Amino acid sequence: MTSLNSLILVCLAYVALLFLVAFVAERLAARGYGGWLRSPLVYTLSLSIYCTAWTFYGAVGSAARNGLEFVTIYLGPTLVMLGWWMGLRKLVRVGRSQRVSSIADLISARYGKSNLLASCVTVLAVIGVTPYIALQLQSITLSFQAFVDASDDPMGYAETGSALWVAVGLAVFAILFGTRNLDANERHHGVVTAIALEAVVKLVALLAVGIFVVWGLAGGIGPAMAQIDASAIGAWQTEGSRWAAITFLSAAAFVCLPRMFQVMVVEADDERHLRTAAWAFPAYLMLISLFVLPIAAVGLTLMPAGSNPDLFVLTLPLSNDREGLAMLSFIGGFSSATSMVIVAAMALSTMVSNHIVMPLWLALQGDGASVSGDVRHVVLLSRRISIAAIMGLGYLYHAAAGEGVALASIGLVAFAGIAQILPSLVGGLYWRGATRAGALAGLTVGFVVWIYTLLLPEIGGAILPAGLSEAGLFGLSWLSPGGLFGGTGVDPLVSSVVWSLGFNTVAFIAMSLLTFPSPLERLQGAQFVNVFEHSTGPRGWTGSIAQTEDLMIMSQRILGPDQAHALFAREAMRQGVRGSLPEPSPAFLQALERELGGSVGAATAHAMVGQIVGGASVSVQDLMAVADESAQLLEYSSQLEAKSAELSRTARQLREANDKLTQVSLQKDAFLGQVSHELRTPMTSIRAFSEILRDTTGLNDAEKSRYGAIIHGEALRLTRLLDDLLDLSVLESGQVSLNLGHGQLSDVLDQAASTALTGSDGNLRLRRSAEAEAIALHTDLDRLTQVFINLISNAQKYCEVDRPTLTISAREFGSMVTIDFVDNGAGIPEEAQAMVFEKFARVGGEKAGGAGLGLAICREIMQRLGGDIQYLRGQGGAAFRVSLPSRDAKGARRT
Amino acid sequence: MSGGQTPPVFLERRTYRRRRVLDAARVLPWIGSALLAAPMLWPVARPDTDGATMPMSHAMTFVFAAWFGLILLSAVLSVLLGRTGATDLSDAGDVAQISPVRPDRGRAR
Amino acid sequence: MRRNVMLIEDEPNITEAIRFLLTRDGWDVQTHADGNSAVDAVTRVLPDLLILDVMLPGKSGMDILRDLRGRPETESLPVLMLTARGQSRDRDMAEKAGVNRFMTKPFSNAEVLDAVRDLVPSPT
Repeated sequence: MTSLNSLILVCLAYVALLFLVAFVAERLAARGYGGWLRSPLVYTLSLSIYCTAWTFYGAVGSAARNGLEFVTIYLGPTLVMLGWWMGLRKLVRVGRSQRVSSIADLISARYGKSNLLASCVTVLAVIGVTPYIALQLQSITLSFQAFVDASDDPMGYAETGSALWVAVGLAVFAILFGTRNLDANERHHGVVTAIALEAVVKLVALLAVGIFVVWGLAGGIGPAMAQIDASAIGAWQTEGSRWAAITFLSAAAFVCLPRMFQVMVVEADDERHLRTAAWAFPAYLMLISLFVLPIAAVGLTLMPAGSNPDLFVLTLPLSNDREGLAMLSFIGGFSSATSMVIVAAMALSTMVSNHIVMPLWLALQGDGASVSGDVRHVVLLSRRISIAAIMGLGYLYHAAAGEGVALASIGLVAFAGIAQILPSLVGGLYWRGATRAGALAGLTVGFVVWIYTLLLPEIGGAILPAGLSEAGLFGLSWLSPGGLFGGTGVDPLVSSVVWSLGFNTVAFIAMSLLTFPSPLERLQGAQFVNVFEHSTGPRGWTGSIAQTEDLMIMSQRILGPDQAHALFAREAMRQGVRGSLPEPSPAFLQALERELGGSVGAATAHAMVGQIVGGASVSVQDLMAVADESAQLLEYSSQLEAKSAELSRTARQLREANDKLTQVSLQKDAFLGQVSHELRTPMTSIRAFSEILRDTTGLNDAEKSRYGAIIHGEALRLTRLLDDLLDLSVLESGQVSLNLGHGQLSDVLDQAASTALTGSDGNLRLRRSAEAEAIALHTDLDRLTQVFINLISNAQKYCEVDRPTLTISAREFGSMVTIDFVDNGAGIPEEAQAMVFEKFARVGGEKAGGAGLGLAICREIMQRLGGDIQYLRGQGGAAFRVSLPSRDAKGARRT
Repeated sequence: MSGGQTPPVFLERRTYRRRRVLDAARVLPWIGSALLAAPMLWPVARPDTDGATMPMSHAMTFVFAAWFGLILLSAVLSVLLGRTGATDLSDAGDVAQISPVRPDRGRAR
Repeated sequence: MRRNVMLIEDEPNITEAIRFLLTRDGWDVQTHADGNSAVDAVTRVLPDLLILDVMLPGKSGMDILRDLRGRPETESLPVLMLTARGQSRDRDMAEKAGVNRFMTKPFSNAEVLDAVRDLVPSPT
């Protein structure tokens, strides 16, 4: 008989072997040996942590109760593996290219690196997996118990004590080999190798027991089959709905369980291993389940009524005095339990530490930015404490729940809880429209429904108020946990799975449709959904210049080549680096981020720079894609801007043209009005007086001659006006031909003075200086004379003083000759000065009957001659300055 | 195959083979699901009915035979995938080129 | 009693012609040539009829008319307006301002006399 002591010794020896294997594997991997450690075989075997003590003991128990139903637990994963090309391949590729450390990390990364989401998944996982860990502890203590019961050793055995020690031992192992590296993404070769060994052990143990049972006890395959048919489980008894539900559930759990994610994605060395695992792992599962039914049937037949079917694997060999086989079986069960607990604790601790402890710690630190290198220790410590805490939780759960619950039911409850992650996971991998809010809503809804319909009724009977499970919430029977929405009579597990996952999915999709994702979420969404299009497998960014090059390429796409080159060259110069690529110093990165932020927004720029420099969680191709998108947007918007600028320019031009036309039209109106007025006024006098002469009888001779003189004068005025108008129109249209000639200024002035003063009764005195006027001119002398006549006549007309005097002073400086005409009159009022050169501008009353065109004509003439005429202010009287180019200058403008 | 790109009309024999193997790999889980859903049609033995029942040995034989067949198919596909030069696990066609992401593109496939 | 007419016109020859015509027709004619002081002159004299030129130095005939129409004593004073610009816009403006008769220069003497007699009917 095996004593309890020897059993413990065997356990310790086995654990020591595991330690040794793990240690050697770590050393080999560290030295670069051991390619076989990375073989597909090891990968496939490591997946076998799916098969826990629940499989080893519980499958037989389940088969003894429900027949072939247990096999669904393995059919689900089989189907997932068969569909690896469409599903797992993507999951592994995403997981590796994003360098995720856990399923919580993956979900969080997909939905914009949301820590809230990560902590939700973590809490869900802890609640879902803790009972599972308790289950493993329970299976170990039960198996101890089986040996104790079978032995005659009277030595006392404290059941709870053994569970505690087992928990402590497993925690130590997990801490030693699971938290060696800071980077949770690095492979734990030691642990994986030990798990692979355990996978072999449990398979061999179960096969050995099966072979013993079929050929040793039943007497061959045929009799074994007959025995099965004859047993209590001899007929098919599984409802279709339950068959489908559990198959689906196990498939979902296979993907979502933290420990499965750990070995399948995080510890994956090479995604090509999936190709082998696609058939090898289903084969493993098939072999594991092959003898379950025969063992159950034979156990039911041979073992006394009331023995625990969960322990047939142990008790059958024991009761047949096959101690060696029993020991092997015990070790197989022990293997199943330990491997699951170790990996689960590792995976959960990473999640708890990364998504709950570290954020809290950083928040408590206050200043997150000052955290430096010593965070390493904090991370490792928190991960180790998390492992201990999870094991402690599992132990407490085990101690509290006792042995009342069948192994299989706990396992299924845990599966249903973990499966709540599935909608967010699948949606995140295949649907770009999935948002963080959607994932949160789905998870929360599914989680709550799961707790209410499955977790509480199944394991928390004491927590629920009596009568709730029958009467339902608020006394509404359709809200009772077992029969939600009138599903009474349906299997509670099926009902719970349908409702929890159904509501979960609906909430997830609806919320995703209603909300708008953040830029990072959208970037990550594209990353995940299109992972095969822009990743050729994970690449690490090593070497700072490589980073700078990538930053450069990215910047070019966003800023344009010139600006990007200038920016980088400037920084390189500032750093004193030869060449155009600077070191990616923090200051430079910050500057670059700001620069990019101007183009694409701060959040995107932060994400882009952060991704290139801060690790390879996003491949460069993706950044390029985003950069291209941004560049196109920028280009488009700048085109739009250019177009709108052009439009507004055109509009402005049109407005200006319109203004000009309006102005011209107004000017034309005003001009016509003026001309009309100037013509009609003399004609009015002429008509009035001629009618008086014609119609009035008895006019005396004096009257007749006076009215005749008025008519004559007005007729002359009309003629003058017409002459001036014609003159002006010729000058303005530029059709005037200049008659250039040489002459002296004094001669021109002489002629003008004599013409202007002849025949007038004015007493205007001219003051001239002969020396100053000795200036040779080359211009149109007749036109110049006309200007001078106009000016002298004006003085004569408007200078109303006793002794009107006009001072004419000529000066030549530089290339210009100026001649000033200043009289001693009142001058022109300030407000009229600006107008004197305009057509029909008249100052004062209608004294001399001028049409107001004289000065306008003067200005036209002077401009034709290449000079000008201006009114001089502050000269006492009216003062005009005529300027024209001297003889040596280029001469008059010929037109 | 993945949308958005025009594949050449005639593919190399090897590539053609590979694509058909991939088609098979995609179909396999559905075949598996159909096969393994068959037990849902079997009559369930209840204490109150004396109707026809499915002997457990038959049930077991069917399930394990189907299972074994699926594993065999998967193994054959795995070997074929390895032999057709599937050193890279990307979809045939997107190995050589990396197409930029279009923002409006939905699912990849 | 002789009727009183006031003429506001800056062109001396036209002023003389109208004065000649109306005096012989039995009017007392007063003249004024400056636009700025025209309103004061009119309100001081309060003639039976006002003949107003449009283009005046200082203040245009339109403004003078508007000003007069705003005062109770000249509100209904008969006004004959003469313009040399001859644009239809001016006629509209003048009618809006409240003119009684609008004539374009050059006019025939008979027309002016008819208009004046029409605007201020003889008391007999």
